[in-house]
Amino acid sequence: MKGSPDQQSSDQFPERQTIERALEGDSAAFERLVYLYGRRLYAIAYGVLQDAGEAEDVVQETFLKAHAHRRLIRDAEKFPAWLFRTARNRACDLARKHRPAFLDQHEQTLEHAADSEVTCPSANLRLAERHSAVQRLLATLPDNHRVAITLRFMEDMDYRQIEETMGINPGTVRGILARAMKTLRKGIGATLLNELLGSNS
Amino acid sequence: MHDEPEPWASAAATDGLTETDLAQWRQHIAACPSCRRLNDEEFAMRDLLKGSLGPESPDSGFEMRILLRLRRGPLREKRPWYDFLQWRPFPYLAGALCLLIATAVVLRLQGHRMTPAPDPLASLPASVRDAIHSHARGGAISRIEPDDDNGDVSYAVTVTGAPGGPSHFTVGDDGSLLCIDRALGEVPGVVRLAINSQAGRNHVEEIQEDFEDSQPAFIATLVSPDGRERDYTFAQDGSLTEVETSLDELPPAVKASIMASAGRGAVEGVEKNFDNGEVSYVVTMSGTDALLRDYTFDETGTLASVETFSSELPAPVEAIVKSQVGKGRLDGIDKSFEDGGITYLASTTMPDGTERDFSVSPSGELTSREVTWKETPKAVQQTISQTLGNGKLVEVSKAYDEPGGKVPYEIEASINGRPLYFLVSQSGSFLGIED
Repeated sequence: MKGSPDQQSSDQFPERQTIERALEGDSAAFERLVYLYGRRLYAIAYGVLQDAGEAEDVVQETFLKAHAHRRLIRDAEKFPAWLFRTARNRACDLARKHRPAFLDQHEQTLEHAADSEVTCPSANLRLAERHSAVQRLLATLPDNHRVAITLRFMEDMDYRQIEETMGINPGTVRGILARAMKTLRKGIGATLLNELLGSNS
Repeated sequence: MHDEPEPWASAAATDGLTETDLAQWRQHIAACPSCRRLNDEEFAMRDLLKGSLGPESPDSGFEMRILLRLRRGPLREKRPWYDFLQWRPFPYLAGALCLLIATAVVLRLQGHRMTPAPDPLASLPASVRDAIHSHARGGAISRIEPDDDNGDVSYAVTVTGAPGGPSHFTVGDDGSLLCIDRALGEVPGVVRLAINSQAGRNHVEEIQEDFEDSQPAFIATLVSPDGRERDYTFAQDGSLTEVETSLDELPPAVKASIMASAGRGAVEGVEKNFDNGEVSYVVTMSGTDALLRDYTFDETGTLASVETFSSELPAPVEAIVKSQVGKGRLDGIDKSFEDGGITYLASTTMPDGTERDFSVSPSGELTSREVTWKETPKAVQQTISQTLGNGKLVEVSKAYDEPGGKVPYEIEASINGRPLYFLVSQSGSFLGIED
C-alpha cells in the first residue's frame, strides 16, 4: 500500500498502543495517528468527492472531531472504523450539498472525450484527456463503488484492507469491484478501450 | 468460468484471485478468445484507473499540513494544572530545584550573594523571543547562538526536555522558523525512503526540515563508517536536490575552474545540485573582502553565475531592482553568464510572503518576472495544465525580452524528471518549446 500507514507510524509504538495513548490525551501519539490513517481517510473522502481540496478538508475535520471526542471513544480497536465512518459521512454530507452541480459537470459521456479532436502540444495532453475522462466516469458510479475503486487504485489496498476501511463484510468487496469495473468498462466506450488495448499491445 | 467470466476478469485485474484461481483463469483465457478479450479490457481499464488515481494521492506534505493546522488548534489546548506532574522530566527537575535551593541556602548562610542568571532571551527582538518560546514547546532553552551571514542574522537554539519536541531549531531575525530538527519517523514517507536508500551503510546523524525556500526541504546528515559527515538535501517529493561534496570529488574541469576563480580566496564548501534534472556545482568561497560568495559552475566547469550584492550592481540595475522589490525583501542576486551574456537574477519575498524571481539586463531593463498561478490568465493556465499532464510546474514568468514586443509567459517545468521550458502567449496559444 502506497504511503502505508504502518510504515508511516513511528517504529517505537505499535498501532494499538498509539491509539490508546492518543485517546488518553498524548498529543505526540495523536499526531502519529495522522501518519497512520491520514491517507486512508483522504482516499475515502476523495473517493466520494473527487476533489483534492475538499478531501483534505474532510481529513482535517475528521481529526478535529476525533480529538474532540477522544475521551468518548474508549475502545482503541473500534477507533479506526470510527475514523473511517466519520470521514465517509462527512464526505457524503458535502457531496449531497454539491451533488446537482457535481453531476452536471460530469454528465458528458466518455465517448465524447475519447473522440473529441485534440490539438496536442505534447503526448501528456492525451494523458490529461484520459484522466479527465476517467474522473467524469467515476462520478457516475455509486459512492461505495467509487470509494472501493479509489482505495484499490489510489492507495493500492488489498481486498481485506478495503473491507476493513469501508466497514463492510468480508468477501463483499470482490462483488463491488466487479460491478464497478463492469460499469467503467462499459462506460468508457469502444474507441478509448481499443486505443488503450492498442497502446498496451 | 466461461458462463460468468466478468467476475473472474475483474478479480484478476484487481488482484483478487488466489494463485490457484489465477492459474485456472489464465489457462482458460489462453484457449478462449472472447474471455481473453474481456480480460484484456479489464486490465486496460485497471491501468487507466491506476494512471488516473495514483497521481491523485496526496503529496508528501499532506500529513504536515494536517498537523500544522491541528497544532494551531486543539493540540495547543490548555492542559489541566496538575498535568505537569505527569511530565517525565518533572521528578528530575524537581530534584534539581531542591538541590539548587539547598545550595542557595548554604551560600546565603556563608554570606555569599546570589545573582540571578541572565535571561539569554532578554537581549533578543520580541519576535525572535516569541518564536523561540513557541518552537521550544515547553523545553528548557539551553543555548542560543546568533549567526551573521553577510548581514542575515539568525539564531540557532538548543532545547532540552521538550516532550516529543525538537532539540535544535533556527529562527531568523524576523522570528520566522528557518529550520528544525526532525526524527526519521516524522518526515514524509517518500523522504524517509529516499534518506534510507541514500544512507546504505551510513548512519543518519540528524535530519533538519529547512524552510528557507518557499518549498520546505529535508537535510539529512549521514555519517559514513569512517566518520565522514555529508549533508544530503531532499525535496518534499523525496527527490535528491543537493549533496555536500568536496573539491577532490569533482570532475577535473570543474575543479580547475573553481581553483582559478578562487584566486587568493578560500573554498568554504562545495555542493552538487540537481535542479530540475540539471547538475551544477555551487561553491561557497570567502574572498579577500571577507565576504562569503556563492559561485555556480555547470557540469563542464563553466562559471554560470556569481552571487552579487546590491552595492556591486550597476546603477541602472540597482534602480530597477529597488523598484521591483518595493516593500518586499531582497533575498539575493546572482550575476548570470548563461547564453553568452550577462543577466542579473534577483530573488525576493513580497510582503504577502510570496517569493518572486525576476531578471534584469545590464542596462537596467526588466527581462522577466515570476508570476503566481493566480496571476496567470485562465487561458494560459489551461494550456500549461494540458501540456504538462502529470508533469510538475516549477515556475511561470512573464518574458519581456521576446522579439515583437509581445510579452508571453515562460514556463519552467519538469516531466519525468527532465526539464521542460516552453512559451505560451497571453491568449493561451502554445508558442513552442525552448532549449
